[in-house]
Amino acid sequence: MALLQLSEPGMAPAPHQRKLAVGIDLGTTHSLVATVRSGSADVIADHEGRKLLPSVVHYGQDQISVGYEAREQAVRDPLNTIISVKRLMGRGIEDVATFDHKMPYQFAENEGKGMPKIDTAAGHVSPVEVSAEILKVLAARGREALDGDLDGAVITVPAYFDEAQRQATKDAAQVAGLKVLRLLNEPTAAAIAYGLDQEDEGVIAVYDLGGGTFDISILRLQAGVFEVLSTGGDTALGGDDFDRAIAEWILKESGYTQDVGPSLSRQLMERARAIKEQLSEQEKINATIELDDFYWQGDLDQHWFNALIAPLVDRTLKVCKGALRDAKLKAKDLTNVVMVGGSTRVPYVRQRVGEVFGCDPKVDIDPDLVVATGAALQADVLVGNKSSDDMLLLDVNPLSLGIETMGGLSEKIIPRNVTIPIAKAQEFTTYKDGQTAMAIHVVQGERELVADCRSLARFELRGIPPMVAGAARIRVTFQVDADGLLSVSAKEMTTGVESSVTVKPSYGLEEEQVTEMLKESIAHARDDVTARQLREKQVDAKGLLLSIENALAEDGDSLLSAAERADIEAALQRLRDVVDGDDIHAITREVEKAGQASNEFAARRMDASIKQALSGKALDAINVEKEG
Amino acid sequence: MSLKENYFQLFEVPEQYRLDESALRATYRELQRKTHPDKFAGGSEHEQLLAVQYAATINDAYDVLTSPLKRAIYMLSLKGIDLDDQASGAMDPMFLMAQMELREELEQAEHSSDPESALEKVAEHIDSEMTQLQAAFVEQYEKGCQAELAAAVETVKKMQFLAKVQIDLEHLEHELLVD
Repeated sequence: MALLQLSEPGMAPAPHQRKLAVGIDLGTTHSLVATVRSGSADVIADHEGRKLLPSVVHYGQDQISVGYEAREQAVRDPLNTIISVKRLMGRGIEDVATFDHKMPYQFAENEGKGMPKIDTAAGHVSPVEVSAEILKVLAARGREALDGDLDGAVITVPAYFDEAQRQATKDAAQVAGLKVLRLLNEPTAAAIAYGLDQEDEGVIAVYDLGGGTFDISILRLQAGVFEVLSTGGDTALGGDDFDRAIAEWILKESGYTQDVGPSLSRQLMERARAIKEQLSEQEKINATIELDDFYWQGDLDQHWFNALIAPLVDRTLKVCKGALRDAKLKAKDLTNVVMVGGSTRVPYVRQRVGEVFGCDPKVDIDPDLVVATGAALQADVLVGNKSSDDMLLLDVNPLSLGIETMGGLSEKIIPRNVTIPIAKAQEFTTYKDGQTAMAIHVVQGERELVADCRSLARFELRGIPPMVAGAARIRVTFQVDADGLLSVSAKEMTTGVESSVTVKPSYGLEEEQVTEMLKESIAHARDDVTARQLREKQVDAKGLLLSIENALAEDGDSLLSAAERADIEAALQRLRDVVDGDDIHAITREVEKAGQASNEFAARRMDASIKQALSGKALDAINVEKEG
Repeated sequence: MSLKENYFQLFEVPEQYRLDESALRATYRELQRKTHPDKFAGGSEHEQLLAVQYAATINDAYDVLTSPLKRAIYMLSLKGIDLDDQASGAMDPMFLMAQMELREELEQAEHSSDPESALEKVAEHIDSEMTQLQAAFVEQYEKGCQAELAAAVETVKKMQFLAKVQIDLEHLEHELLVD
């Protein structure tokens, strides 16, 4: 009670402490972390002043290294040095077999199904764990720069990532001990970095060609609202493919006949990358490559390079045209084209993109830094440091979600390019007398046959009340949240009985596996698992207390009766009594109860704010009329 | 104001087919500003779930209110008519004939020397038919008596036919783009 009396009705509660949040660009070839300090977003450099962290993890027998240190091991120890792990996120072992190029790693046998595990000197590791190692280094960099524990992070993903790839990214963050405020699409992050600086109005296209992924998003910017109109992409196309084209061309020219082992292959790729970078600056070069028993020497020019990569660039441009069409726009409707990702440094890419959209692409912000910068700006808003009234992001679902129906067909439930969050319900019935369970197979993709779409998960519904065949009406709700992640709930409509839903992800981890990995990861860091869990629970509980106290101070008088208010305050007091103790179960229980006690209040507040939004708008309209 | 109200009430617009799109858009933005989960990233778990639910409903409402076909179907549902439950009676033979011609037109466009502009012509044709159907729907729906509502149902079924042709046309355009 004492806390509540501190603020008079109508007065804002004491300004809370500034929260610590970062934006993370988890890239295929390199990753970055950025944060907002004294009003501007900056990428945080390491002790040597380097902003980029190579997305490379080396697993030695007794130690794991990440970044430049790991990259140095790539040639010497290719099997234990994991590069481009992003390409494996949310993929199955059978997908890896179909990749255009072979990955050098040994994959552990797991019946040829599910998530691939890489066999390293430190044991089997999953792509989620490899990504978690990269995230840990970035988080540590953030903690050091901000001098405190992080309250949360925004992590960027390619807009065209499917649900399994997004879930894998979120799992990696959880294993790394990071609280994810939001998974943000990379092109949208870039648009924030540009849009907020310039207060642009209009329609922009963001062309994002990274190391391993390509995205295009078309956005409308108006009055601080970033509305994604359409998105498209290719999660297996990037600058790495330019390097590979160069390496393969040189290999062919050299007449080298022996088997190319993983070590030579890595070295050739590195030389190819250097050639790409040189030819992005100079018209022509003379290249000499001498590696072990491999030798090649020759003159290369931009004309040759452009012809070599033209088919790859063409693929991106087709996707661009498709995205424009989906947005129901023509190239002339665009106000700006923004270039993102290191691969847009290649002059030929800029030239061709300029031709397709009919304007000079914008490159004001370093294409390597722009995504992390935008993520940091969004993190600052989400964590509550900056008012969210100024900025609103409306993103879309990149690929249609469907369910498997009779005959192996996919019936689309949530179409692509609809604004998220979104929920759609579908009714099912039982086909056997007394049937109490059913399974729903959810797939993602545009094709008609389930076999041509990506399998996401099988949802098992249990606890359907037994009835005669066809009598049960099971309403299944598919919901995609603001992170682009799917959840499913089900209810039998004639009895109102909720079914329990268990998820069997096709390529992902089940919840217990993530928890297990988190425990292992903490144990590895020689941290005290229980102490850390307690600390996190206390932080969450205090956050909840503060948010309900603030809500009561603002709306308690107007929306609650005295008795209702007393109930909530009693629940808060019980939570306060235990929050600083070390009984984690008591804290969990009281958090739960305080949440329940305030549920109805939260719903009333939401309704009240909608009402206020509508009346506010009416007021604006009146003002405009007066002025006119 | 709550989610229990219908989409027209949620957006505080009159329950009619013709709507002011720019006003809807402005309302949509204001509603999203208040309910989007980004506003509750620091809130309790329940608040976050609630925000997802509200924002999802508002997104769906905006989608329905701005789509000519979905809006018509929704308005019929407000009168207690579920289009899926309607017996699929015989369609107007004139309309079916016109549909066959439209399909033929589409096929010819696909194989013409300049498929892109030929497809555009078909698209214009579909648009103008759709506009006529919409006008008919407004007329029939607003009279509101049972006989007129039955006619409105027929009109919406015709809209569904046209929408299917439109989807096929978009597929063709897409293929043209990719090849």
